[in-house]
Amino acid sequence: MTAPSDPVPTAEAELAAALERAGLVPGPSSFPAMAAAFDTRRQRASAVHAALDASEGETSA
Amino acid sequence: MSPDLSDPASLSIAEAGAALRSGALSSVALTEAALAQIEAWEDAVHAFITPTPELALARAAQADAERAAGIDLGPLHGIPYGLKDIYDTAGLRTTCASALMADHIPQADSHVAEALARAGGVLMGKLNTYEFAMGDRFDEVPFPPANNPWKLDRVTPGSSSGSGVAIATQMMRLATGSDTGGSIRLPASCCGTVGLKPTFGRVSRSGVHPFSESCDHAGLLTGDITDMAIGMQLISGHDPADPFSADVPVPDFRAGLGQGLAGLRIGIDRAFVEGPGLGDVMWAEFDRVTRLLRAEGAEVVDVTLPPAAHFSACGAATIGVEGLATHAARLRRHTGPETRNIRRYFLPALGVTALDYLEAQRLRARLRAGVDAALQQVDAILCVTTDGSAVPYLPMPDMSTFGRTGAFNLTGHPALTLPTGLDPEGLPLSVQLVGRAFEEPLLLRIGHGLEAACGWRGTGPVYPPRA
Repeated sequence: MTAPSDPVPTAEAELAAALERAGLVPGPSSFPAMAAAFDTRRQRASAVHAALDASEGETSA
Repeated sequence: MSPDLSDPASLSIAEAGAALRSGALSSVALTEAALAQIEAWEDAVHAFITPTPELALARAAQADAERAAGIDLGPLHGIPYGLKDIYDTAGLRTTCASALMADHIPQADSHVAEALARAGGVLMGKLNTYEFAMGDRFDEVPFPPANNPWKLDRVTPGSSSGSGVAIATQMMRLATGSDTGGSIRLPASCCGTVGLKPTFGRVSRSGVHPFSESCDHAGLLTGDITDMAIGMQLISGHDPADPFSADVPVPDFRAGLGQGLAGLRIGIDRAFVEGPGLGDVMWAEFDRVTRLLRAEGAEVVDVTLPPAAHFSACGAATIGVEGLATHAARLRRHTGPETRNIRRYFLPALGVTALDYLEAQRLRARLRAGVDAALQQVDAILCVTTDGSAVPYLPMPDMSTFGRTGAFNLTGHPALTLPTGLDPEGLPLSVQLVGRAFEEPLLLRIGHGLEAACGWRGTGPVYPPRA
């Protein structure tokens, strides 16, 4: 029997949670557009881990 | 060639200073010439947020009286300059181009504003910027954005837009800027001026409204390299009020000017220059500049910089989240339309985790070491500032063409943009020179030699500007 998987949170849901944690509100800006930018930024920032791995690999080599 | 005293606005700081000291020119006449340039251009280009013509004429008259009394305050005495409107000025509003600050009157000068005033300069006013020096221009702002004087539909990018415009149109010969990802070098490139992002810590940021604590640099835009050296001499030095200000000796920034390029080694990493896609016109200009360097006796060699993608990832995990930290308290207090642009620009940085940020700082140290290693082999690195000349302004500008500058905000190395020629549309092209930390005089020596080889001086936008 396969365990039911958790629903994948949307970028909008994650942004809303992040805003709440930070005590911030989106204000009059377009929330979907901001969520898309949030998702893009998250992906670009997460590239830092692979870059760091590659950089440390160069050093250890 | 002798300077043209019949056209005082065209004089460099060095030329105007010599004319003032000889009595061939008065500071009032020089200031009136600058005001005439403002009168002609300002309606089209919006270089200013707060022009101060009456104050300027009064300060110029004071400078003439001081000189007549035998008082000489140095090379900027009686010469027009401007301040980006994120530099605090006591008693004079500092708006950061934001509705939130439209009536903000600081109590004290920023460190740099105080230094330039003490040097006897004639403040022409507060210069236009993108709101809070953010990297994107928004249309819903309380002050009309600056337009490119070479062609009004083109960007004046970065955020020191008014400074680039004011120098290019000869409203003044020196203007302050700030640079977090390229905001001095990009407007310099697109407006055809010189722009220097100094070494991190060289110039105090005290009293300059912040964007990103670890990437903000205070610096200058000028009409030529000699003026840049003069200006850097005035604003450099340790300031305990800026916790990141470096306690290092201030060199003679003019020491290398005129020594030429013979014997110097210039490094090139063609993959870094290529970036996301360099245009044919810019490649041709870059190769032309490389040939000029060789012709002047420099040795041009290949070097290897860290991959451009690593700088991009590091920047994505650093600059925006520091900007959000700068503005978070403000955003909690103000939730209405007056903070719409700040929210649009910075709230997406909530996608950066603490782990992203901290690993980015580890990566950053390695990137800095990688650039240091390349600079151990050469005296400077030559690259580009942008993919080409100023692009048309679009409501949502594509800033992907502006990727070569932010790398050196992350590493802190000094980076100099200087104009080299015009593209087929008659718009300025530039190169960027990157030097070893705290070796700006060597960078200025190379820039001075290249400036002479390119023959740029005297090139500027024509009035009336093209639409």
